[in-house]
This record gives sequence, structure tokens and C-alpha cells, in this order.
Amino acid sequence: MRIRLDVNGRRTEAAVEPRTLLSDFLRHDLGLTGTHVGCEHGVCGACTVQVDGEPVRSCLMFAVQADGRDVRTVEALADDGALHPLQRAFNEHHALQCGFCTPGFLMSLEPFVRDRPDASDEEIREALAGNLCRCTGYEGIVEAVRQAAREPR
Amino acid sequence: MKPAPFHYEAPRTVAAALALLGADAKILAGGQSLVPIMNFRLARPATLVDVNRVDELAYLRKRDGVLHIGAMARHATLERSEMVARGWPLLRQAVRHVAHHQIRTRGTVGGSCAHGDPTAELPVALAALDARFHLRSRAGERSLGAAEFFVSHLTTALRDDELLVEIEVPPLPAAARTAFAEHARTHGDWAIAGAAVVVAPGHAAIALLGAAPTPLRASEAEAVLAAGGDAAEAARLAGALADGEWRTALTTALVRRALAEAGA
Amino acid sequence: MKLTNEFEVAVPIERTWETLLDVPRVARALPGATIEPEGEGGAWRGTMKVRLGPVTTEYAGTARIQDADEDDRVASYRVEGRELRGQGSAAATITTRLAGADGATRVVVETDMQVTGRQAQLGRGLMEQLAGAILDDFAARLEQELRGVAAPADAGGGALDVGAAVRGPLIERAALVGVGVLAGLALGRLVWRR
Repeated sequence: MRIRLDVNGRRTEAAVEPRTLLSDFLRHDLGLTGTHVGCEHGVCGACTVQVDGEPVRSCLMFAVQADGRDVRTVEALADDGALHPLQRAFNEHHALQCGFCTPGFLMSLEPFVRDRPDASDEEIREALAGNLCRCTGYEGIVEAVRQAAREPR
Repeated sequence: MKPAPFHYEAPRTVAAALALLGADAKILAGGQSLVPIMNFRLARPATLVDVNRVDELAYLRKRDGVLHIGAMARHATLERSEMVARGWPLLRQAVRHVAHHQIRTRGTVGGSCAHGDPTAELPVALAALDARFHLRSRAGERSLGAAEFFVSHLTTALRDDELLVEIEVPPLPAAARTAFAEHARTHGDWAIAGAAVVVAPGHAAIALLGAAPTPLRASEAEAVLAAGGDAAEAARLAGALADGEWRTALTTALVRRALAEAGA
Repeated sequence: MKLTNEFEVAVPIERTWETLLDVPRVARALPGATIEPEGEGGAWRGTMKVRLGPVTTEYAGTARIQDADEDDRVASYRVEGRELRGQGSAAATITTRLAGADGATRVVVETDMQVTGRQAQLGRGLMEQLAGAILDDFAARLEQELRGVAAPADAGGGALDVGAAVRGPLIERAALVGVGVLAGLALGRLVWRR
């Protein structure tokens, strides 16, 4: 089936099988390998991207469902090489080690830090709950979110 | 693990969707339950009918005090709705426990109900609210209460040619307070047991999660509470409906907690 | 950031209510906004161009009706968008409440908005002024839309020109000067990033 969608602000057209997952389409058809595949059943969050501005598990969506939609992946965060404030905060607070979970965290958290600049630590932890990290123990991630949320816009 | 091949349809109207239903067609709503199952190849429908483009199913409307939830209303929309929070706080209390916010972006109220997982939060909350489920097929429409709609594990009264189109929720009784409590191993994980309660003068609803293959109303406990009886006693009666000592103890404690939060 | 604005349209409440539930029609009344006529699953994609002096910011995003209370005539919308060039994004929950009075409708608009990026640097005071100006212009256009009158020529050339918006007949001279000063300050901040 032919699909037409916006990926990271660029009009994209492709032919896909209905059963092709959005995650695989992004990675294999478009070469956007920043989105990672961990569990393929919606639990780990590594595959999280944004569809029409909202965080979504790309392993639980078929590429054909993204026809006509806006898809945004981690590759879109940095602006011409300048790190997104959230990326900078992750860097500064050692919120990543192997980095496998990181794109999923970033895409999940970007709307959160925009919408909840005054979030409590408990609310931050709740926002993180949908992404698993095996390396960091999460403390650095919480600190990074705290910083990015409070950053003057 | 990738899904097996299937034929894909994306109708834009309910009528078009109904025309596609049949024995080996599966409806794709939010996909947050179905796609994992397809990724594991536990389900291999020949045809997937994607109803995400059926605009007429996505709404949250209040009319004459009754809440009309279009089957394709997303969990996240329900969660954000101040209108729902004011009139049916139990729904917001319950939907916050549904997985994680990324899942709630796509997952739908109708999809969750039609999937019929006995550990799902919204079916239990809707059962406590005496919701009615509207089913449509090419032959016509029918509406069922929760007890008739939820039949067993992952089984509802939906026939192969039927689509759940709307869930209708009556207004809460005056001065009603509500609460939702559940226990899962980790936050956002599948619930092991839980309870949705509504407490008002002369009225009580206690719906149990995980005590049966469907949401279960603890009617004896409700009667005790509605008559002004002791909340601890009601919790005990409700917990006794669960299977086994451990689950009974857990359910009793959760009902007790929910009732306390609802001021009983 | 929370903003509240109100306006009145000389159209009965029923018609106003119906129109507010028609997202493409509402978008037509907002200069600088384009919207795809076909929504999907309750969401419409569109763009919004805002011009302040020489600086134009364009957003692309989605708008959806979140819920509709037909009893109390309250509708709420969720709008999200990203800057087309830049890292900024905006999201808002907009709640409109209608009250009827003598064949006219009073509309109260509550906006709960979060913005990141360039526009957010403007600061709350100016955002409120701009929102007020935008809404006043919108109200006038909505009224014309409701009455089936053709909208006036788009002074902004396809963008919501805030400067042009406040030059309309609705805003007093004093307010015009005030916004001009603020706009100048804001422009300074945007361009020189103070």
C-alpha cells in the first residue's frame, strides 16, 4: 500500500505491507535508526515516537496507520546541531549510559517538560514510568527532567 | 516477532466498517492490546478493519446529564476531560491506572471494553457506573448493561458482525463520591486486583477487578453499604468473592482502601 | 499559562454552539490558520502563521475537540503544534463557554497554554496582549462567518499579522499604542535574544 506522511517535517512517500510496524518502517525503510526496538509489545518504551504531537509506541502502530499523519522521531530534536534542552540536560546529568532507551525517553518526555514545568518529583517519576532503563537507575533522568522543565523558555 | 500478513481496510464510516465485519476480521482500534498479540502471532486475523479513521466514533459528549463516550475516544482524552472529571470522577481515577501515558494516547475506551481483559480498569469503572454498551450491526442496534456485555476472559457479547459504537454513562447519584484502587507489581503494570466504588446516600456500587473473568459487582457488599452498614464488613463480603486466600485478602484490602477514600 | 478572554457575537446561541463544534469553520475565522477540511478520528491537521513585524513564525499541528457538554454549552479543544523551523512547540487546552442573551451569544474562552521556543520568550504580559488582540479579531471574523458574510481581505497576507489585527476598528487608539510599544520590545528580544 502507498502511504504519504510527514516525517520530521519532511513529506515522505513509500510502499509498505500492511503488517509493517511503524518502528520497522522508520528504521528500515527510512533509515531513521534513532528509534529503537526493545520488546515489541509496548512495555519497554524504547520505540516511543511522536505522532501528531503525542508520544506513541511505534511498535504498536502499523506504518499504514501513519498515512496522512505527522511523525516525529528523536532525529528531529536537535536544531541544526544544537542540542534540544532536554538532550543537553540528559548529557549534563548522566541520564544515559548505553543510550538504548534514551530516544524513547526523550520523545516521551519532550511534551511533558513543555506541559508540566512545575511537576513534582513524584509526577516526574510517574511520567518516566512508561520507559525502562537498565543502566542508569533513573536518578540522572529525573534530575535531567527537573532541569529541562525549569529551564527558562 | 512480526505479525503475520493480513488484508487491511480503513473505512471512514460506521456503515463502511460494518460491511467489512465477519468471521475472520478483527477490528483495530487503539491497537495497544491487539498489536502486541499480533506481534507474538497469538492472533492472525485474515482482515484487519482499522476504525481509527471513523470520525463519527470519536467523541465525548454530555447531553441531558448523560455521558456519551464514542467507542474511539482515547484514554488520554478521557483523562484530560474536565467535563468527565466533574461529572464522573471515577473515570479519571480509573484511567490514570491504565498502563502509561504513551499507551493512553492511542488506546481507546471502546477498544478496552471490546477486548474484555478482566484486569482492565475502565470496564470495572464503567460497571460500577451502570454504563450501557451500544452495539451496532447491519441488522440494527442493541444495548447491553455491563453484566451482559462482559461475558468472560477476553470475551464480550459482541458478535462477529457487530461494532461497539458508544458507551453511555448515566449521571452519578447526588452527593456521590467515588474511588478506584488497584494493586500491580509495578506502576502501570497489569493489575492483579482492584476495585471501583461509588458511595452515595442510599446507593453503593462496588465493582471488582481480577475477582472473576469479568468485572464483578459485589451486590451483597453493596446492599450492606447502601443500608448504612459497616464499610469493613462490606469489604469483607466483597473480598470473599475472589478466589483463594491471598486474592481474597488483597481484594478486601483494596475495597477497604477505596471505600475509605470515597468517605464510606 | 492561563488566559481568559471573552467576546460577544450577535448570533443566537444555538448557531454559535453548532459552529464552534465545526473545527474547520472555526479555523476559517482565524487569519493565518489553514486547516485540512477532512479531519480524521476527530483530529484536524493544520498550520498557523503568526507575524509580529518582520518576524513570522509558522506552526504545524493538530486540533481536536476534546469534549462537548451540550447541557451547559461548554466545548473544549486540544491544539498542539510545532514550529516549522526551530525547536519550539505549543500546546493548549481551550475551553469555550457560551451564554445566550437576547439573540446574541457571550463566549468566554479559557486557554491553558504551554509554549516553548521563540514565542515563549515574549513573556506572559505580551502573550496576554497578543492573545487578546487575536481573540478580538477572531470574534469579529467568527461573527461574520456565523452570519454568512464574506470575511474581510486578509490584511496579513496569509499570516495572522498581530500588528494589522490591532489596527482593525475594534481596538482603541490607546491600546494600539500600547501593543505597538510592547511589540517593539518583544521584537527586540526575539531578534537580539536578550
